[in-house]
Amino acid sequence: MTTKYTKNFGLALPDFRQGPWHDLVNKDFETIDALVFGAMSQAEVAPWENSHAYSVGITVLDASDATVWMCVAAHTSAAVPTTFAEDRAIRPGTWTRLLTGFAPRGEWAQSTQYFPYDLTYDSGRGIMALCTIRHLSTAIGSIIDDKINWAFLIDMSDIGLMTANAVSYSNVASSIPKTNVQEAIDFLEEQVVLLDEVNVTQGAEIDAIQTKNTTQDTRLTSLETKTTGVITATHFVATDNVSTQFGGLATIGYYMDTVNAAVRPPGNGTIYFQSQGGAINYGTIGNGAASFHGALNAAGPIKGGGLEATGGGVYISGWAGNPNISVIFLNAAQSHYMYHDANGAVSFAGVPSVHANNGRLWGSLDALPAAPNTVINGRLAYAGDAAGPANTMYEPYAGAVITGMQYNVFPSDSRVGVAYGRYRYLQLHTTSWFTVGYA
Amino acid sequence: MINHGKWVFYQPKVLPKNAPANALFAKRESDNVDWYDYVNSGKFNPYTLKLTVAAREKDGPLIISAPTKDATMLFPANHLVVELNGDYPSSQTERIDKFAGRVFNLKTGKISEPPRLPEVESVLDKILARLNKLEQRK
Repeated sequence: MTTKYTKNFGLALPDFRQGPWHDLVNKDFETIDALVFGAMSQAEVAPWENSHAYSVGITVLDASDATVWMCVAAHTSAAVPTTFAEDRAIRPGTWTRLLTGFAPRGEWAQSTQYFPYDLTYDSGRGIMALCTIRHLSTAIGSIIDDKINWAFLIDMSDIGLMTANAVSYSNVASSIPKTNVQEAIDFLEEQVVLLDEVNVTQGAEIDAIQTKNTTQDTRLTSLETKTTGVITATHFVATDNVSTQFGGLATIGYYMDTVNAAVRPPGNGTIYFQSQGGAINYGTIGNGAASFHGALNAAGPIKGGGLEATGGGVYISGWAGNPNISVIFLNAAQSHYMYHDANGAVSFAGVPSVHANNGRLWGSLDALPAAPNTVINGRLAYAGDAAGPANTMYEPYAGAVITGMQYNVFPSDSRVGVAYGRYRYLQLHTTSWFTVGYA
Repeated sequence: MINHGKWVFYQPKVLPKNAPANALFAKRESDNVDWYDYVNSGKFNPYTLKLTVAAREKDGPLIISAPTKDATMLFPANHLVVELNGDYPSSQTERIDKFAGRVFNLKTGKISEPPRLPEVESVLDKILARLNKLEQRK
């Protein structure tokens, strides 16, 4: 015969004396026991009290976490201020928890009594677990060390850290040339290191400048306060054309007007050139009785309105084209002369004339130096114009040659006229000009 | 004005050193000084005008032959040499055009225009006139 079951809780309704009748009935009683226990365990339960004698089967409420407990060993609870949880910890095995569902137990704790269906979590590790067996949690470690007593509903403890190079981000605003967080961080760190290095370098340079500035300040202060003695400096350099000024009436000064810059003595002063050690003779340049003693050595051209040597001479040697020749060049672009601005002959090499034996003015077209009686130039110098008398040979300028002719007619009769000749003397230049003729 | 005197031809017994063999020589009539010695001894101012002047006919006016600033360009045989101050053309060609052939007054230093050419009677015109007279005879 088929066994029937109740509608709500599925209790077996076996026929009497029919096997396994007692098994089915006993199962029903176990089910009923559990149902009754569950129904009664949370009905009109009194809060737990201190210093109270509890007997087996008494059910109390732990008001701190709204859990219900049934006494399983008679005892007297601890006095105030011991809490129910502390009292249970003092005397484990005196209470058993009554459950009708999952019990939230908050953050997992060490050495704590846990019961089946307790829900706890480990927020640091991302673990949420359901207790599977009544136990006292481990005294050390975490819920992972107590893992055998729990069913982990959520366990993120073994996920670990997400690698930064797998995390992308937007670099639109920053323009950092990296597209993941790890490389971006590395890039920024590199920039920071570089900036730090620059900062260190510039710091060192600033220190050097400060040190040098202190040194120069000291030197400048020394110069500024110096009123006597000698100012010693490696050199003075004026780069703004106006700043170097040696004032006073007898010192050298650097003067500049709107057009020209020049070294000028102040007022009517004089620029002195004196040899080291204070020689008696020294050169001067000034606008008064100017003089210049000693050699003026010029590696390049000396340009100016004129070069005048009074009481001395201009010594030229070592022409670049031939070191054995000294040359004064006259620009060939126009007519230039070596000119003696006085009456009388020019003394050349101590002789009152230009003489081949003593030196001469040498022309660049001369192939060789002049020998005695060498003709170095020639010309036809104008002698005059003249007309000769009729029927008679006439030499108005004896020795001259005719270089031009003109025929003049009489106003009264164009058929009658007079012939004019232009006469010129042939002149040759040896050491001076001579008029020649009549070979 | 400086009158450097009248100069005449002469032939030195010994040629000066460096003189060409066919050199012409002149000496001053008054003191026999050689022209080349004179002209090369600083007697002339380089800025003045130098003239050679001579009469073309007996008792005629002095006519300017050569005007120049460089005295060495002159050869003054049979001429007077005078030196004048003043402003003169800078080129030799201009000086010749302006002064050559002009009359020079030795007393005043003035330069004037050359004498006009004499008027001449045409020989052909005289012959034609005589022929016309013969033809008109009857």
